Amino acid sequence: MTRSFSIETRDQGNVRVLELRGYLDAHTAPRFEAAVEEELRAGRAKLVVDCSELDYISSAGLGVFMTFIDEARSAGGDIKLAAIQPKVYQIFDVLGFPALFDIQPTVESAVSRFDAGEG
Amino acid sequence: MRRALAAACAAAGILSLWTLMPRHDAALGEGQVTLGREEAIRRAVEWARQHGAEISGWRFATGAEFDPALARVRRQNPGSPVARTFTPVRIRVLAFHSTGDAVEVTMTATGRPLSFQDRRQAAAGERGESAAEEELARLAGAEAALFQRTAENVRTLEGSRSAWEWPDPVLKGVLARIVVVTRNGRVVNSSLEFEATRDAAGPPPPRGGWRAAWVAALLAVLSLVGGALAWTLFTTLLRRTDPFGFAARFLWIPAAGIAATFLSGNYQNAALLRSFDEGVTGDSRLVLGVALSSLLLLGLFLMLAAAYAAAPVGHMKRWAAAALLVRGVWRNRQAAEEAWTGLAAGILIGSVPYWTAALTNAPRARFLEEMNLLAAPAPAMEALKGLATGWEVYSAVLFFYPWLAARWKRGWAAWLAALAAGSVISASLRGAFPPAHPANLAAGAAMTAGYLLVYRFGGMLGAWLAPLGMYGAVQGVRLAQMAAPSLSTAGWQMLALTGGLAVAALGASFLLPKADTGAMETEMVQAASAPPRSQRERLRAELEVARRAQQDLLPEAPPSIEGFEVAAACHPAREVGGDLYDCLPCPHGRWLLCVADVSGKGLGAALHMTLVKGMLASAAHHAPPLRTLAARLNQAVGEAGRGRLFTTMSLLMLDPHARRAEHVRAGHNPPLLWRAATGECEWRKPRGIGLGLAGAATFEANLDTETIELAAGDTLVLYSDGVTEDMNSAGEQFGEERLLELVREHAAEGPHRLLGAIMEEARRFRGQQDLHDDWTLLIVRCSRNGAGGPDRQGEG
Repeated sequence: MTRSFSIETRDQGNVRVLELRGYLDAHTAPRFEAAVEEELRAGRAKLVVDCSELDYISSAGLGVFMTFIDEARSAGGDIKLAAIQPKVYQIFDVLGFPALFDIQPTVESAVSRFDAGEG
Repeated sequence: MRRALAAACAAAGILSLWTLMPRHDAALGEGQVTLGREEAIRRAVEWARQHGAEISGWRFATGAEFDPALARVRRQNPGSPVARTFTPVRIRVLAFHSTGDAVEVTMTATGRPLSFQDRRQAAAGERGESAAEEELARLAGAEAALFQRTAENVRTLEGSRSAWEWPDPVLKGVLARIVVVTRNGRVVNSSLEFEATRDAAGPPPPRGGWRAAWVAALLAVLSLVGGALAWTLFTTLLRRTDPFGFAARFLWIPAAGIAATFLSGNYQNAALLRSFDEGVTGDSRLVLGVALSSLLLLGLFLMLAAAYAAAPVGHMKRWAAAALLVRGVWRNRQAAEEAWTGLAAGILIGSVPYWTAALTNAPRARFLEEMNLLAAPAPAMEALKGLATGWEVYSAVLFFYPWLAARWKRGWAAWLAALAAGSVISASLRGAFPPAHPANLAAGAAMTAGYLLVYRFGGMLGAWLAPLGMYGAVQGVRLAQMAAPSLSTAGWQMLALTGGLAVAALGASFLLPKADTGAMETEMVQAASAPPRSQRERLRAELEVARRAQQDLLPEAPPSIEGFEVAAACHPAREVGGDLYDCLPCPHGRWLLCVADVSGKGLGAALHMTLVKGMLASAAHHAPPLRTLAARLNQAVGEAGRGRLFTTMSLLMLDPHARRAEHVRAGHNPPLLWRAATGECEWRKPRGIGLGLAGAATFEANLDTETIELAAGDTLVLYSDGVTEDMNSAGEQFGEERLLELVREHAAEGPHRLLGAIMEEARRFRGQQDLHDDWTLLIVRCSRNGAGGPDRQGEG
């Protein structure tokens, strides 16, 4: 069964917000990868991933975050995660992501961390 | 927002067309027609009757032809009385009878008779009273006295021929000529013709070097597009699983455009005219027209298949709504939005040539120059031709740009190249201005840029429908402004059709529910990366070999550990998987137990799993402290995966004599510990990051090692996320709770029974669904007697 997944992007100040919806798994991860790559290639390294509508993430989806985090940080930006549902947060947590990524309760707080000169 | 922008485009487009067209459009200036189809036929019947031919009730075909030389003379010499007698547009009326008889009458745009041709076989023997002089009076009217006879009853094969000429008094080299051919006193052929020498007509639009460059550019673009098309067909096409199916499903859209033109009678009309010109009667050339259309559709089919096959994965989101629509998902808000955007933007694009004419002071624009205004009984359907003949959209926007975008890293370069190709195609096909005029290229480029923007922001369906909006608006406004009442009615009909479609799409974009374009996109992306059909069988066989090889890497049977019982299972979701479990003997009677999960699925994960297995065996050889072992693995996995792949792992160093296990958890699902004394379960979750995710410092700073003291009967359950995230058809997950309940219920029965119970419950839960992810379970129990062999009962 093919599950639904979509990405919507918007600007919030000088920060690019990527809103993920649905299932991010091995089938849909290439699209997320392409989206992040497009942002970085366009010189937008300050990214906030809004996970409030993300229902599921598999290891392939997590891999996308890992693939680009160094690139984003060395370009003076960061990939921050925001508003993760508890069920999905558990997956991030088990893997040890909180030690590697800046995870914020809301998109606004994630954006303001950029404004405060972080990352 | 996008809908409002499109509405603004449509409004601006209509407004520009309405105000700019009368000033710049050649058809409205020089090509003005004051007769409608019905009126032209009425006059033809009347004219034929004066020649003794009764043609009312016959089949009629009508057409309008444009004479650019005459238009030029009239423009340059407004005072010429001869030129004023004619109009640049000549109306043709053909009458056919089922017996094969045919009569042709032509007239000026204002209805003045120009010619009569009698091809009635039945009338061959009839005698008439009509003398050539009478015909002169009829054709010349008030100017009859000005004509001088140049030929009198010259015998020809056709009959006896008389001719008169009226040289223009002010313009040298321009004259009107009347030719009358009579047989048996009956006029079989007569005409009033305009003639001008090259000097009198003035120089034709400048040609020369530009012209050659222009043809060269067009040929280059066409060969480039053709070559790319062939290349794509031969190479890329097989990379996707369904390009031909995709194109076939899409074909109904241009086919609908062709069918509408056919049903409106346009094809029949054209076939009647062509048949008459070639000396045959009836619409015997209709088959030719239909055959040409089929060829056109075949070309579009190949173009669509190649375009789809060549489009990069990143473009699939622009194709998804259209793909869903042709699959029959009509309740599709996104497709409606795209349709609205395309139709509305197309209207603005249609006004581009007129803007160009106004801004560059260019000669009159002859955009969409076909003058077959009177051709179809219902010209409103002509707008639908845009679906099949928007060649710049097919070649530059739907094919060339995506094809280049998939190959070139620089997006703007692909955009520019497509723009250049599209402008050459557009400028040469539409030819709003003389080929050498810079305005021609400017208009072509601006229009192609418009289509590319629609593709970029409105989607593939939008770009495709844009020419329909363009044709509908341009032809509609032009016809609506014609003097002939029936033509202006047809114009309003065409505008109503185009506008109706656009408004329906706009309404639908508000009313319809959102379609799941995400799922469609996923499906298309998957199809995009499928291996060629020819390779699939071979791959399947090779995968089977890989599957066996990988299964051989797993322990053949759980080991016998003194005082412990071990049970394990590992099922890949596909032929091969990324899950791994292992039990390695270490010095001093200790055992290293491990469950690991390489990120991703399938072949890539499987290759890494093999690598991790090797690294584990190598690292375990000297049995370093667990913490050191984990750090080494982290480094090795990180180097091998290059930040793209990672591995989660639970490692247990089991000391059977001390009944103690050391545990580190590198980002893996927390193992479950069942205490025999209390019958309760607990999750063991020391801190730890997945292998290959972080550098050594971060990894080690976040890694905890815990020691678990085991009493008799205590059971440790290690598993991969495939167990807890197993899914049923309703999309529910198996979940930790279900696993915990099963452990609590069956742990006392021993690891093999527990494993069997969990596998059975998982199979029951999953139902008809395939495994979602690799499924691995490793269960270790401290034996009750403290020194027993492996549990032999239950699952083997």
